[in-house]
Amino acid sequence: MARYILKRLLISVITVWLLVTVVFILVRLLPGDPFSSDKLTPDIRANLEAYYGFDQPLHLQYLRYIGNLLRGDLGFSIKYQNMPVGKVIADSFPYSADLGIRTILFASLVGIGLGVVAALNRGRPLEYLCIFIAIAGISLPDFITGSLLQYFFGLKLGWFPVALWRSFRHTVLPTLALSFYTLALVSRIMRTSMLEVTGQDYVRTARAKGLPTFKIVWRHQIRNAILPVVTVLGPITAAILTGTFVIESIYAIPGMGKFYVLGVQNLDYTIILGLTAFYGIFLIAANFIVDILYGLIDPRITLADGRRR
Amino acid sequence: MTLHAPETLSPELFEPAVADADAREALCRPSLTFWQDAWQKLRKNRVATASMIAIICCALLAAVGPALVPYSYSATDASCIDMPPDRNHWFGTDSLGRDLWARTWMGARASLLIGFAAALINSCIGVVIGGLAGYVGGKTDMILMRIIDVLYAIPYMIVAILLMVVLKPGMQSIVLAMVIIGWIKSARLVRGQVLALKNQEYVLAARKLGASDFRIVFRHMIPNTLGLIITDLTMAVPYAIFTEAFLSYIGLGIQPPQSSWGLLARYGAQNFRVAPFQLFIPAVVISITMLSLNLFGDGLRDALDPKLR
Repeated sequence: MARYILKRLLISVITVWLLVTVVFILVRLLPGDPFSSDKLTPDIRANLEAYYGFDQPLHLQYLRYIGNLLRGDLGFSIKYQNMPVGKVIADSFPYSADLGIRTILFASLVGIGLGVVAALNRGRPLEYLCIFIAIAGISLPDFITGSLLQYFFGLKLGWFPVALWRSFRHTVLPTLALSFYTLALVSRIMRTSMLEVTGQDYVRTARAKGLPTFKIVWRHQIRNAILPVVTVLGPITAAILTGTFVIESIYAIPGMGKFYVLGVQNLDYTIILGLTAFYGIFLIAANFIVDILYGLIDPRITLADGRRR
Repeated sequence: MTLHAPETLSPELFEPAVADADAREALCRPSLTFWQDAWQKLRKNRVATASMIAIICCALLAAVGPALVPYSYSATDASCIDMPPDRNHWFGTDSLGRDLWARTWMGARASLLIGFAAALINSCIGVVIGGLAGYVGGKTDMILMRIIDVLYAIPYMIVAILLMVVLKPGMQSIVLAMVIIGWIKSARLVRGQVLALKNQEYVLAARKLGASDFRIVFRHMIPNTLGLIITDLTMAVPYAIFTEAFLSYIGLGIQPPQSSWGLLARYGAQNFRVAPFQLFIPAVVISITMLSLNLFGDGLRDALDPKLR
């Protein structure tokens, strides 16, 4: 187990290093430079470049960049004066995390529920309804669901606020819109895994013992069938993260996704690259944790060294 | 009790039946190749057939749709702004007076082209690299797999966004951004399949009969992985279309006055208080296409699965 964790950790570290190096190279490749202004005399320009370290050789700049990154210093926004990228992340991340956690909770609960209902109603209309919801959820891009929910429940029916992030009522529509894809993914996996479990001997034994159906489903089937859901946690985190770009822009939530899209639209390169590095590291870390978690949870998984745990 | 024997037992009753080896081995049903069988199964699957027809219709409209109306997709007209659908403008006009029918199908052209191109290129690269790793094995496999391990951990969307920030916006850039690490999934898939096939008896037989590596790969391995590859390809297309729409939606993909589904959805979402149909039309078109592609992929997977034959 320790070897497996070490190997995954090594891969994750190399990946993070690769990502931040690519980000560094891309910054140098970007068109234009931050000091382009007619009012700049060559002297001031040289001073500015010296201040930011642009006069040093590239490898020193690279080391300095890595050092800054390790200290969490991501530079300043180009568009907003005196706004460090680190502060943008610190201010906006809580909103995104709030939305993300609500989404994961709601989507896994409903997704697991739908999967179970579908599996228990094999061949009945209820199963087809659940399957349809699952396929629709995977097929509808979140910018579509987000806008449509906003239009119908916010604007037309007025049940929920159209935008902003203030009270519980404000959180309902964004969470729903962001959950749809995840919910579909979870319910698909849960249904397949429930169907597999239903054929197992221990379920038959439980039935033969005369246990009530509710107990069989709850104690024996769901508990065993829930394992594979963990495998999709990685892709789910990625999907929710990219989903927040769109959903936060649509619902005017002051989270990281909204700043990211604003950064893209304003060509605010330091914001884009700083947030990208943050997102990348966050996702790689999340994938690492999911990998380890899965190895720990399922005793049947053979780990990298070929032995069973 | 007496046994009632037939009155007359003629000697010819004891003649041995003619054992005609040819007649016994004769096929009573027409023989079907794997592909004919898959095609039959696909046609019997009503959902998959309907999806296929929807996809073909969408492709046809993308090809000829813009030419059916006398308006150019990029021509603005100040006299009819935000007009709802009517006899002249079948899908209405946008906030610059551009005809939405032309824009929707021009957008379909871009989205479908990018989706199919990216998925196809990804599959090709994946087959070559995955096949190489799986078939050659040993050091080659190890080195390729370590590289893939590291690249696999980099979030796909992050790389696509980063590249789009640096590259000149346009169709080629989008495809490039999606291809650069998009091939990894199919490479892993193909490698797994090739590894499993390598030790099958028919490959061993071919080898013992003196077949060259080239012949084994192209005559025996690839036809046996093709079903898997095609299924993977069909599922990759909606994902690529979604990625393009997402990139265009946040302002990194196709740039106006060009048209794409992501762009149309973005403008529709911004403008839905005035002209909700500008959101509904792209929403319906995107949803139907994605739904059909996903359902068709599902059907194709069932049809091509040799275990379900």
